[in-house]
Amino acid sequence: MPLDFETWYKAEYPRLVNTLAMVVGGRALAADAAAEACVRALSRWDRVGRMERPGGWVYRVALNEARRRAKRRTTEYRLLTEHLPLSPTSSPPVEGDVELWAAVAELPDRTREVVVLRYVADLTEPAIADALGIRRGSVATLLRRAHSRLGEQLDPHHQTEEMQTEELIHADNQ
Amino acid sequence: MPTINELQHAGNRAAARAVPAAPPLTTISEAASKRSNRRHLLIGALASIGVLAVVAPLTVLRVGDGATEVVAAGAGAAPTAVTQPADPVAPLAGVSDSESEPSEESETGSSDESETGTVAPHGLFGSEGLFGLDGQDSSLSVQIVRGDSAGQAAERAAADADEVIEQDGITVWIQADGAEGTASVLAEPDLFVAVTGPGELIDALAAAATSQKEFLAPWFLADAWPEGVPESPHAPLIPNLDEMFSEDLKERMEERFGDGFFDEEGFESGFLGWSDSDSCISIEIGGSNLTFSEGCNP
Repeated sequence: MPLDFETWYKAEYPRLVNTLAMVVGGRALAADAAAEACVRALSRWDRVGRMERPGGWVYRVALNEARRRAKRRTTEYRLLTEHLPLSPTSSPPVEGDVELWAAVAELPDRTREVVVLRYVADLTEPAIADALGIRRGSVATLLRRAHSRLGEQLDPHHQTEEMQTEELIHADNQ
Repeated sequence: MPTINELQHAGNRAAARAVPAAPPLTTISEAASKRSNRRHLLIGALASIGVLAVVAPLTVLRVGDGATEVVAAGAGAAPTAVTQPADPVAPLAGVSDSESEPSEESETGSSDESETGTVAPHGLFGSEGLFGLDGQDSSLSVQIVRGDSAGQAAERAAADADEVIEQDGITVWIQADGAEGTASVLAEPDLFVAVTGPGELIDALAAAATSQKEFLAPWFLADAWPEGVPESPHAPLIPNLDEMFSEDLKERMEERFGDGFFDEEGFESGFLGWSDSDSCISIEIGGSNLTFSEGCNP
């Protein structure tokens, strides 16, 4: 039974926009790219709707579109938009999570994308692999690294498993 | 360290942030409908580029006067000198943005400056090409007919066909004649594409047309399926243009047709700029030369 596009669209659009905004930056750009991805999804919905992981397909299209639009932006356009007043939706991340998302923003690009697709887009690891065109194993590895890096950044006393193991070995040797 | 649970909750809060109102579904539907129509055109356009690049890794060298381009082609060959066209032409690097529409070629300025390009060692689908054709010995003709003449060309192709393949609503007519053959398709009511070439190439086309990959398969593009997306009859049908084309080819084609040519929209506007109206384009590949020309007889 293929997924109904209207249901999917209404449920997923806000999440799609927020995810894109966190990956590529710029909520207007994210909204445009999300709309374009939805147009493409609908034009192929007979196939996309039957996919095991339609989200992977849509996010892949949306991310490509967002990156393409970002690349095409001219310096003048960037300067112009920088001076436009922020829209009400340009609010900072949810209060209480500012520190977390600031730490996520510090992650390497691909790692950050994986984290945002996993926790904001709520995609499964296979769907993230589809969306980013990488192997599922790579997704798992990047998520592990992200957890470790976030731990280091958010908790000064954080120790990775490797560090803990090394300390134990060191203690045993003594 | 944030726990998985904390990350999930934070992610959900971020996902639930207010966003600009979603475009009305009717707007999305209308745009999707337009896009579907454009996409059929794009497939036809992709077909011809795909054919060219499959047969031989290309290096675009020159823009010819009189709406004729000559490019060098060949797999792994030494840099190839291109026969000087009848009218000296400007090297690609000199083509300005304003000349990005192919139909404006004949109005471009010219220069005697010659350019010999290094033949790309890797083509669209790898160094070995597709179907074992290396581009050195192949002669290929791609004809694209737009407008009212497309239907007439399709009727002739149907009448001459030795084999007819129906695939996903698209009809491919195969005309085999010993060492040479022609595969034709009416990709859109006003867009006809015919490929004439070696029999083995046409055989491969026919085989591809009956494969499970639908739509793009008849035009060699199946190998450009996005990596990581399962190949199935329901696989997505967007070719990843970045993955399809060699960097060298992309760079030079973008020089010729403008930045962003290899994005879908740029591709559409750039390539189809050749055929804004009722027109016919012929693309000939022979030996190390490849020629685009307008005004062929459909």
